[in-house]
Amino acid sequence: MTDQGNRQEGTLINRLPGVLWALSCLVIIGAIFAGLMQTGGPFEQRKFKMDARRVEDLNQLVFQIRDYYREHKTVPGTLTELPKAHAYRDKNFTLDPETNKSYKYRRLSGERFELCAVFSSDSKADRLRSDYRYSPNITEPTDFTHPAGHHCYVFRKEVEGNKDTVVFRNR
Amino acid sequence: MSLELKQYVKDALGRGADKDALRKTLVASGWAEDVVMKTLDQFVGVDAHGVPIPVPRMQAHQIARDIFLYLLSLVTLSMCAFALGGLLFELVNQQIPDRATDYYHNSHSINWAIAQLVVAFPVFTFLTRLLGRDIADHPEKRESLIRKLMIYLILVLTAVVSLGDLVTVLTTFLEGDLTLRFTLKALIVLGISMTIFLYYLVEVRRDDLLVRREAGANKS
Repeated sequence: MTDQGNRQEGTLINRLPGVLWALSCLVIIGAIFAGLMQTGGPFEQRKFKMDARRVEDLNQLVFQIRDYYREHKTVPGTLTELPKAHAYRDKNFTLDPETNKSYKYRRLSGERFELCAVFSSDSKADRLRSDYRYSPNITEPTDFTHPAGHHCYVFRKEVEGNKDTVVFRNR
Repeated sequence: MSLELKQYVKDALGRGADKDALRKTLVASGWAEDVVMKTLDQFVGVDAHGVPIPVPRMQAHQIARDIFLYLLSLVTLSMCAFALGGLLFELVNQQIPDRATDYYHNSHSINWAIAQLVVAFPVFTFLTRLLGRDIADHPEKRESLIRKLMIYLILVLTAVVSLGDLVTVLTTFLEGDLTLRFTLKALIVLGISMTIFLYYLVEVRRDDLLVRREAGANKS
């Protein structure tokens, strides 16, 4: 090997680790930023979790109202009429996790009712959440997609199949 | 190599050789000047009987410290590699969704990967700098066993991962299942493992070059 060749190799070899390190730095920082874009960052994720809690609560309330309907053949006048025994593990589904105020419930008729909540974020912004309740799958009786802020869902009675299985749909 | 040099210097000093003359001879015969200087510095002089006196050193402490630093850099490097791979995989999954396999998405894996990178990468960088400075101060440490073991372990692991990756890609291609999503993931694995492989291959080359005159001439 010539002196010239060796010198070039020496320079390249001395520079390469720094170049590789800088390249790794760029890729890592870029990947972290892209990751944060996907998740929305810690504060957005907090909002998404609050909304997921609200959707879960509303979903449970719809089940409880359905059970109430099966027994009384009408939807309740207020949420307080729902039996406490239905509360799962002493959890009260009627309270918003953030404000601790009751969700708004309105009886529209014996077979229709309205449930409202104040959401922190748009459900479309939560890109990583592929919750079935947000899915466009029409066989699911409920669709809980929501904008940010106050939003109401109207549910109506439907009889499924040839049996008298009552469900409440909002689609 | 440095051990041989050390023995040579010790013998020469024992026979009454002049340090300056010894340095010139060694540099002229191809040894890098900083290596020669460091080796000569390992002897404070000769005693009344003409036996060279080595500089007092804490060997056991040094070895334990090196094991600690090299192991920790190996662990943080693995954390970075796996976390970056996982994060990029997750991003590919988001960009190219596959209805057949994506049952549900979760932000947890992304958050976990980001946290690992934020913690491990600065530590790995710091340790690598620390070891680099240590080697600049003690060039004979380029020959240390723990350093060689770690570097060659990393070389073997990254080489195996790269080979396995290529075999998997070829198999998938032959099966007719080579999708863009899969190709991107294979490229991510190959990119990460080859970057690490190249980095440590350069370290090996630098170790070899340092004991040659040319490397000494380039260093400034």
